[in-house]
Amino acid sequence: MAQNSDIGLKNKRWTDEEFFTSRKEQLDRWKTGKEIEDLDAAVAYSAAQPDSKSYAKQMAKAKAEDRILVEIGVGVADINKQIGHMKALEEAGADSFLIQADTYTRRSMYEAAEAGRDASLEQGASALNGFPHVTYGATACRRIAETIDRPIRFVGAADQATQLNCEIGFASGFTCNSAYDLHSLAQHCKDYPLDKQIKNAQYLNWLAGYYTRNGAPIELNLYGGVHGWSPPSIMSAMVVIHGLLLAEQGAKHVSAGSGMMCNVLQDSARLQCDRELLTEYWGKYGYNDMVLSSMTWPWMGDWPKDVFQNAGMTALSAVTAVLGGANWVYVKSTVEAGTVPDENANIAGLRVAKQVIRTMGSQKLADHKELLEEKEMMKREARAIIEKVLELGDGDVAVGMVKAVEQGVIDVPFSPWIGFQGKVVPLRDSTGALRILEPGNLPFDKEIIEWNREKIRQREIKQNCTADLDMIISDMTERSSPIV
Amino acid sequence: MTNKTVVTGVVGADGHIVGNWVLSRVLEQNGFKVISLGASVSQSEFVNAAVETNADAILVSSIYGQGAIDCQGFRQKCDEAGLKNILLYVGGNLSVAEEPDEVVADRYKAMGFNRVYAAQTHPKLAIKDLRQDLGLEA
Repeated sequence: MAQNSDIGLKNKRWTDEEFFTSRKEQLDRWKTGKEIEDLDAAVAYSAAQPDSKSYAKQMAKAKAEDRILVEIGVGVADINKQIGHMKALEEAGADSFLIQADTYTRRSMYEAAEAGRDASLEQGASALNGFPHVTYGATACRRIAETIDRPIRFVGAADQATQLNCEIGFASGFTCNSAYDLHSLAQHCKDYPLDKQIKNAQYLNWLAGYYTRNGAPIELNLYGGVHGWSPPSIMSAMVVIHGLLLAEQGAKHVSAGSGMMCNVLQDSARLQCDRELLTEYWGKYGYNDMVLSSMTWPWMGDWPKDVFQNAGMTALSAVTAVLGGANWVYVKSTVEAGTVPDENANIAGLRVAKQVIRTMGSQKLADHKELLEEKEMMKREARAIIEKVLELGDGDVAVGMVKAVEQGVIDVPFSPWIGFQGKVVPLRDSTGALRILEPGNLPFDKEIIEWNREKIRQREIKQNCTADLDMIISDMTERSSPIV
Repeated sequence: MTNKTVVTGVVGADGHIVGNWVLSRVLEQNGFKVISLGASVSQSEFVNAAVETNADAILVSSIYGQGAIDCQGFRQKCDEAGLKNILLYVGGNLSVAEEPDEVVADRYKAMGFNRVYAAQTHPKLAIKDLRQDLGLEA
């Protein structure tokens, strides 16, 4: 079966020997791996960068100043255009950057990425949907970090590409990375085994810990969302489990991501839920020096084509970040539905978010009564999953997670990854909050299941309809369809 | 039932499955037998599935922008496998650049696709075309 390839997975810190043996193999996977054979030189390079380029340091500063960092992503095939685009956004006020790799690089199809890059350079327009950093190599990529005076986060790995892609990212002076967890399998992969994915993530987490211990703190981002229909409690449970995995490998700076579901109350509850559960479980297992921040992802469903409708979605994600108490927010351009954005479209998205954030100031939803109820229910659902994972793994979260996915204790709807049972079906309630219509094999008690069903029933009554495929389609398209 | 079989999937290295999931369910509701190949499907997998099931059409989804690379030579591959004149539809976000829908459609039609749909097209529209192309409409 896809989840289990019997490779002796355990949630235990790798030894130096285990890591460096694996590292040698990883660097051989593409020719640019040779450039970074000396890990300590790469760490020293990163450590020597000014604080303004360190994600962890800028995050600490922003938290102390009660400020929300606004991050925007850029990913094109031509490195000169990549730098030019980022420079324009820096001047327009971006606080940090996300560099996205193209899909070929994410899937370790490096030859295709190289061909796509060369074709792009030849035709003067990007044929790739991101920046192929591995084909450029760390030496070339350092020019980006040296030109841009902001922290750079890197997203660009999935399945077997994780280790080399992350090595080259960190060695390039990028100081934050996705934690490459089950969310990333759920989002991008088709049939990669989960236990191998966890091992790959352990490698990355160990590497981040090594950089951090040696003076170059690396922030790891727990993705926390899959798409616009990711039930929050399932996402939250996955965040906590991966939070335990990365802590064990020595990573220290962590941001918990949360995918916006478009109900501000529920999304704010989610941010609080993840912060509280992570802190609780880290404490319970003795990881006492973790540094946690939280962030929001924008809507990850279908985006409207119209730029003003699009801007509305970005404004909502800024509202969510402020009210939910996030420390940073990732924003999208105003042409998200149509194309890879140019500078102006990205600058427009940035301005929308910045305007909302500065106007809202320090408003929070922290003690809202309905939010507290939402959060308590979310924690109860997430805890049921986490505890079942621990039980299945006999205390080992890595082992437990593999079994939990096999048994449908963790299940994600509408995922390309075939390892999930895919029995869970989400549906919005009458307030737009995402509920679980079909719980599949989630380890929920009757009260939880009925609570979800009752919320959906209220929508059925209000809209005089029955929970069915048409309602699911309407959920999927109502945010992106034109306003006539 | 229509007695017609269609193959669906998301082409290339693309993992965006939601729209394809919806399309496949609506096709089933409309009486088609659907061979749903899911995410990240190669041309060969589409073609092999169509040959094995004697399919009447292949409906290709692509969201991540790199579809033009992934669909290159699709029609030829069908021809080589003996699927002469099989209906080929493609839909989604089909270009990394911001281009008029017609320009994108012409590019895919030149590659041998019979119908090309922009992102956010309702599945019902494609199904109406499909019924017409298969001679199911009165």
